[in-house]
Amino acid sequence: MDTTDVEALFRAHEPRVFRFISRLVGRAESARDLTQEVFVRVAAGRMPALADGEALAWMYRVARNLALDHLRRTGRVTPVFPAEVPRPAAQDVRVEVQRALESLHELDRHVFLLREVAGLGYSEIAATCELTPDAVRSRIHRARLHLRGQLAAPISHRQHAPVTLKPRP
Amino acid sequence: MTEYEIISAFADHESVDPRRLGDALSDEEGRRYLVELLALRALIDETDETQAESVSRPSFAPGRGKSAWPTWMGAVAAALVLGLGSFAMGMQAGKQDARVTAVAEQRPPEPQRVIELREGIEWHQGTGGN
Repeated sequence: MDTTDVEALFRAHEPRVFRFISRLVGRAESARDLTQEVFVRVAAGRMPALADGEALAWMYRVARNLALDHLRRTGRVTPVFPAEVPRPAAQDVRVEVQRALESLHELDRHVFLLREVAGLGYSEIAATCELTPDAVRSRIHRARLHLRGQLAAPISHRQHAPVTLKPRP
Repeated sequence: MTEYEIISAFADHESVDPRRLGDALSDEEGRRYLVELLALRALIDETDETQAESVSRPSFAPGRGKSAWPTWMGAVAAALVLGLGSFAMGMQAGKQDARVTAVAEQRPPEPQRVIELREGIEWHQGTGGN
């Protein structure tokens, strides 16, 4: 992968890497720093010579590892917002979603977010998390069933608004 | 692969057996699952507080590594701060000098020699002396 490809990868995936890390660590400012660190590593030429799909998986593996290291270092396991603080309704839903995501098994959460937030395909997620595509499909499905139970009320409410089968990013 | 897994994979743009997908969607529960899956996806998307944000990314030169951006920008920033700081200090010092000069100009000059007049001492200049 030459320097042009690295820069293209940087530009194409930066927002999604940021969103993925942000969902994992729960804080935008930390996610911003970690995202920059991902791309510093990419730009520093630490990315091995790989095919396109593998390069993407490598980059998200770096992102995931950095997020996990950050969580271990900071010891953050609590929700983003303390429970006792009064919040407007929209923020309530946001907290509810974040808590539901945090209640998932760690690997299921990563697999689910790589699909829903980063927009990776099953084979790319499999390469990122060192799983088989069948295991990815099964984990995503399990995560959805869990979230469907946890977020029954907001999902039911959300069905009053239009939904689309968005094209894969 | 269960019926729901087929629906889930289809919603993720993965290849699935169309007949099995048809079977899965012929079931009312399966159709409800698809709708809820899409609503869940929309919910995840809409509650993403970072959606509108963007990372303020460094304009790196690929291959040159981490130090390329911070080093020269840091040097420029340091030079600017140093330059502006020196300029500001110079301006401040200039103002202080100007104030001191203005006050000094209002006083008589300090004597360079002081002659004491004491009784019994002949202070008139004599002949041949200097």
